[in-house]
Amino acid sequence: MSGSDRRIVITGLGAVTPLGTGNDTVWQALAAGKSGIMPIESFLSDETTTRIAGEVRDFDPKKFVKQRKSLKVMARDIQLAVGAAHLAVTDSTIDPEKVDPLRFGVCFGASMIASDLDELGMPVSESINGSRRFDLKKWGVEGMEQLFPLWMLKYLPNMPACHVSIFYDAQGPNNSITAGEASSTLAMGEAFRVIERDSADVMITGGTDSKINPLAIVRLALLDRLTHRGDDPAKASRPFDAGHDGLVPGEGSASLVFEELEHAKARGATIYGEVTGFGVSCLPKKHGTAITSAVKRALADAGIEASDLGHVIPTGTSCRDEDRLESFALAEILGDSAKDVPVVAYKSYTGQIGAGSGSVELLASLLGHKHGVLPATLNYERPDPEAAELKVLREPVDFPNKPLLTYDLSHSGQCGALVINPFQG
Amino acid sequence: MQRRVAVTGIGMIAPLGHDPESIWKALKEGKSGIDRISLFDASEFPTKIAGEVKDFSLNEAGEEEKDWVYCGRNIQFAITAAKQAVADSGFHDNGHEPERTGIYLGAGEGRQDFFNFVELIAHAYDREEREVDTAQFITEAMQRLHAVRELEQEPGMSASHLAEMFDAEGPNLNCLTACAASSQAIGEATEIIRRGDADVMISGGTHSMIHPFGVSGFNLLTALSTNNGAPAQASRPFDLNRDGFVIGEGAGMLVLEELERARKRGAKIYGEITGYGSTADAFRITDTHPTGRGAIACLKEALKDAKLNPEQISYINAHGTSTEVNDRVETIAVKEVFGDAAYKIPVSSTKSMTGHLIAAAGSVELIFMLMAMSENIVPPTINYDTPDPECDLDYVPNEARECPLTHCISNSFGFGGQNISLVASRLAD
Repeated sequence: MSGSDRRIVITGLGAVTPLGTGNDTVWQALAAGKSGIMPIESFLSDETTTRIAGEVRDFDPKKFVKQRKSLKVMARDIQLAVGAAHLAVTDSTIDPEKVDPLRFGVCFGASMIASDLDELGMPVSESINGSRRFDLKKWGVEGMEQLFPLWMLKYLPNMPACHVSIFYDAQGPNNSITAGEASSTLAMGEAFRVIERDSADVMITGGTDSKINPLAIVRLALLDRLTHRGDDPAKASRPFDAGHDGLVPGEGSASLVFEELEHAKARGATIYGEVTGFGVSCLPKKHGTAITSAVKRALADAGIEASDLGHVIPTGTSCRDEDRLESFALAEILGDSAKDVPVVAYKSYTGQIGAGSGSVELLASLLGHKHGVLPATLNYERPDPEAAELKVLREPVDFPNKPLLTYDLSHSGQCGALVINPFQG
Repeated sequence: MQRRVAVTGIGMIAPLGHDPESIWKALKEGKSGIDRISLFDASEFPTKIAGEVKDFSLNEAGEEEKDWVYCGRNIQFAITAAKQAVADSGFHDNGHEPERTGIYLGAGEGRQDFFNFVELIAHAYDREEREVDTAQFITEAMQRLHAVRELEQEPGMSASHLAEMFDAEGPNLNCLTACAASSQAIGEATEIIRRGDADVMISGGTHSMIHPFGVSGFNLLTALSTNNGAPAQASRPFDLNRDGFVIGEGAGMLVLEELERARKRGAKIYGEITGYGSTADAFRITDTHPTGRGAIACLKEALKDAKLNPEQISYINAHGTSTEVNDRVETIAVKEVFGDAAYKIPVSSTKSMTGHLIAAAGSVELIFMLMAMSENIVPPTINYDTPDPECDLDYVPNEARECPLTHCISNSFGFGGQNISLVASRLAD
């Protein structure tokens, strides 16, 4: 409908995920069918919530951010994003200095970033009065000033995109999407639109989130969304399997370089795929319709039918009710092709990465394309008899060189969908 | 031909009132909405003043308070302002198409369940080890925190509630780009209608950071005015004796509608969104670039998008935060982009009266600009007593002014470096 003839391709991928940091590490895990879910290392949890997670274990932020001062103002979510963006830009072989700064933008998805509890510990405990209550007067006089001056900036959800813009002198459009678990898919869609309407030629996009901190875990537990399968971590996340009983919290970030086709060709870039369709919908009380509506918009935007799809990356949280509802929506979308179109639920490897999930999952499939293999969904042993029938992949297959569909539904009913065409030249 | 975007409805709640008319009246009279903080005990905070929304109740919007008890003021403000805007527009009773209607907000997060949260930390904190016993924190948090109250803090929740309330099944996004957020949302919503992905978008912003962590965070950055003895005089953009911004709260919502659709149904049209510019400073997370490069590129981008020359702009609604850096750099940028015309175009900062509504700032300021255009009256910059020699433009000191307005531009700059400019134009007959 845009009337734009600009085509947008993906020329760089960067990953900081529970499967590892860097595309090769991530691909090795995917190809081996190895789960990234393990007992939580970074803090001690309690058994009422969960003690397992998809944690990023091999990431050293100092490798990506040389100045300690800069690192200090980045919460975990931001550090992961900066690392992923660095890897994506490197992978794209783009020379940031040769890109017109005003045609170079950033769009990231992020979530509300949880405060570091240790950092608040002393100032807060100094503000407790004799009857164990927090006293705002004491906080005003002696608590607050123990925090460091830039404390608040460490947690703002626009900071992933801001730090990345600073690193690469990207002075073009800069946006941060905060729509729960749909954030990174929506951010990638917005980056696509920005280039399409000729407001930029190159966008660094993606998403980031860390659910692996006490507050985020409590929030998921209070909503009763966590799995109770704590004793066998690698088997805990099982989207669409009869044994699914909740999600595993995850963390990570993936970044993708989106580039206008001619711009990419002119510098001889390697192309992973072309972004051809984007759709968004929101129905807070009818999540199934939110999915079908967003996907229909994305397919129409790409000018294809569901039967043209090579594979689908679903939301697939591994929460029983959510999976079931989603399965019926996806079956409706696919119609007769539901029995043929493979479905790969990457949360079976990583857990729920929240605002980072859409970007990590798209990256996973694009690595599959690069290696000619579509990975399997882990732990899909017995289909949930109460879910609609889908072709959830049990074993890896040759990568289908046809458009892929990825979508993410947020807990509050926003759904973003993207269609990507593995590049045909 | 490019689809054009009209504003057919406005809604607003801010420190000076609970609806667009009363707020606009106060602005024309040069009233301040800044006063002592009453929402929490700030008596020992460096800053004890803010622009609060006074005597607020959701009942005014026809909602039961008990239905929204777990939602923060941000969501409650969003509902109030959006209901006004939708009623004002009348689009809902006039061929509403859910699939062609969307939401794009620049809404802020809700406030943390503050006392529960800090007491949980204090109870679990080991002063010897200087760390929080996380298992203890989690165990107690599961008892004290409330599932829905936690969920409602997510910044995307306002957009989700509005989708449900107004039966809007189309594009639904929330961007949170600090103080540029709601302007960016309106710019992106405009692009969605232009492209044809929706015909009607409810867009704007909402935010309240007048809570202990919000005020502490800005105080630590030494960004806030501490002129506690004279609240009404504390926000003084472009005045030599300014000492920081004053935090405000509220929401501004607009109904954006494809122009032909609006005309066909005989809608009242406040103006047209004709230009949108979006850039980044890419400099520091704490400061704007001293040459104003991001703001300059952004203003130029918006003018180019609107196909206007700088001289055609009749009013600039400044970001004008009342911090030295912002006011000086913004002045440099206006002079660079507008050249000689810069001295002839009135530039005012309504933050002198409302304070800074953070994520919601751009949305209420765009509404002010539309109201200014409809009456040909420019709102003043109040508390402008001693000119800063570095800021030598016509800031419309202290009194509203009548002057014909055709095209106006509004700036919003966010912490971290995002710059947004929006151009609104009077619709030619």
